[in-house]
Amino acid sequence: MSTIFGHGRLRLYLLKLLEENPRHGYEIISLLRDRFLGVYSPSPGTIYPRLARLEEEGLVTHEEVDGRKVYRLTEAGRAELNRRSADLDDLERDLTDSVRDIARAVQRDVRDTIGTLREELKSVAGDARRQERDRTRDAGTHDPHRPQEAGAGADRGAATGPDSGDDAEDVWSRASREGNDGSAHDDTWWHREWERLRHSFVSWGNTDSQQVRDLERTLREFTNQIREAVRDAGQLSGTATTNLRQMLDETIAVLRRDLAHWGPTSPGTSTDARAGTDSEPDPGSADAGDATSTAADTAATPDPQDPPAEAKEDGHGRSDSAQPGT
Amino acid sequence: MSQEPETEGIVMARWTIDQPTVRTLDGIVALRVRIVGGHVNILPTDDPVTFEVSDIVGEPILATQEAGILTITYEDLTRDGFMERLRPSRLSGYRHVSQRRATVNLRIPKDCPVEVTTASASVVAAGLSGKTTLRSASGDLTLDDVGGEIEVSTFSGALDVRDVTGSLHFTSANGGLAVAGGQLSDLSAKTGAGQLLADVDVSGAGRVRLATVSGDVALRIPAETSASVELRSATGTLDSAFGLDRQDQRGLSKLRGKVGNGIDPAHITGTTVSGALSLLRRDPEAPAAIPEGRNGQ
Repeated sequence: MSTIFGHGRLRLYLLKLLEENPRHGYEIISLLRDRFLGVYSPSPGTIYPRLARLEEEGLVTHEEVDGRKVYRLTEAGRAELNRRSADLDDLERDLTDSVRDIARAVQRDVRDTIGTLREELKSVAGDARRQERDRTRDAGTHDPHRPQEAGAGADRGAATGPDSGDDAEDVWSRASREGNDGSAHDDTWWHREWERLRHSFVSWGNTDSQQVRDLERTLREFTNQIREAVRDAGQLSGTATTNLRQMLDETIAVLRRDLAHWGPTSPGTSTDARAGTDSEPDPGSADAGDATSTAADTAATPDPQDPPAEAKEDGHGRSDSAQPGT
Repeated sequence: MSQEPETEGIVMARWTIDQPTVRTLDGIVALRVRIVGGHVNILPTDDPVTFEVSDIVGEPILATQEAGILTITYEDLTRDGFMERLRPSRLSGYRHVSQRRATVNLRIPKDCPVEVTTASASVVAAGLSGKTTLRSASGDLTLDDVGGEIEVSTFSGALDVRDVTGSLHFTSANGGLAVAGGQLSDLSAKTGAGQLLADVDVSGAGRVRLATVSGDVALRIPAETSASVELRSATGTLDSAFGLDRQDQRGLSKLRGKVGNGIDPAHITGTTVSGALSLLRRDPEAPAAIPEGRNGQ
């Protein structure tokens, strides 16, 4: 950073700062410091002698205000600044280059932090999950609907899905693997997750028909869009970028609208098991239309805040296969 | 090389920029950037605003200064409805839009409201305290030491945040959110498949709402936090380092309860469809997730 101010450039920059406004010495120092986010922090021992020299040269003058010297540019100083405007442009270019450098450093730094945090939370979450299981087990009859061992198993089975292992760590490694590389999501995985959303939502059966239809359609299109986007992500072609942009716009609007309504129905609201029977997650062939109309026909008043008395998502009993199987 | 400003009236200035350019401006009170690819870097300053545009590929950048608003965009994208105008039916007029790239470096007053929209350009912003609005399709976004009101929407871009204060709203289809350190009075994050990670303090009476479809959620809060908590998931695992009541039904698991005894409890809700959801505790002696590398350049 200090090389920026080689070859008389600090002098030039001081003139520039004084051209903008009359300033006192300390103000100049703090401006320089702020400008470089503390990276360049000139000492009074650097600045005051230079101001004095500029004054000797007749480029600046000062007056005492409240016991402090306030420096201002003279006409000669202004002329000097104009004469060297090309140098000033160069300097400013270098200064903004350093904006880029600082921004890069910030980005790298934040990423490191996030990476550390991710690792840390991953291991802590694993611990918490184990403790939770232990607690559940200790509680014994804490949840009569959930046998102890099967409870722990279902916990994990549900989260990791039918084709992931039983290890809770899998959730994390899977998620971070997929989360980390942004666009390079596995096509199959995407499809499966969105199908799962659709079925989960539909089986909650808690929205009016129009809304469910909207969501269905949106998700179906979205799934396709994503798959296409993912396919193209490797070589962000013109079309892909354009599509991404469009999808962004529409998706945001859709998410805003629909996410507000995610969630189970209120207790006592009827849910219909028929929705559940259609909800076998079969990414390859699930027919959204059928599920939609089923849920729509039986829709009750939506209440996004409250859970259903019973969500009949599964055709199966409570077991490891809480997510019925592909 | 930039053209000389074409002054229209007193406050309007325009620059068409097709070569690397640096400008210093006074009197900027708001910033708008809308570009396609490249980078946008924003840092705070007490000085007059500086902006630099470089690495220009494709159409020249148009910068305007009007009524204190600095706008950096393209000639054909100047009006509102950037996204609207890019729908396929209207795209024929905008040739090679997606090939456009530029690096935009800015220094602005820290309380200056900022609105940045990009297609694939990444955005880094640090030290801001006004209102910060970022939208990106696929660009990755980084915020450091940012406060005030923060609104971020992405399609697939991730948002990394460190040392945040105030309110943070994040909406994404595919992008994840990670928050390391800071204190929020309002954190709302919704994503389809992205992960949500947050290690933050929650202000008294603050609100935290986290929702995903398939993305995992991990929220770590200080052990001494007071809050009412409700975590729900259709098929995802729920766990908590605080003692919460568990309710399991077919297709819906819940963890709910109170944490701490403070008089001004926060409200924390988490909802996923299939994502795992963890509420974690940061012990008082443990440092917040502030890392080795602050200013380590």
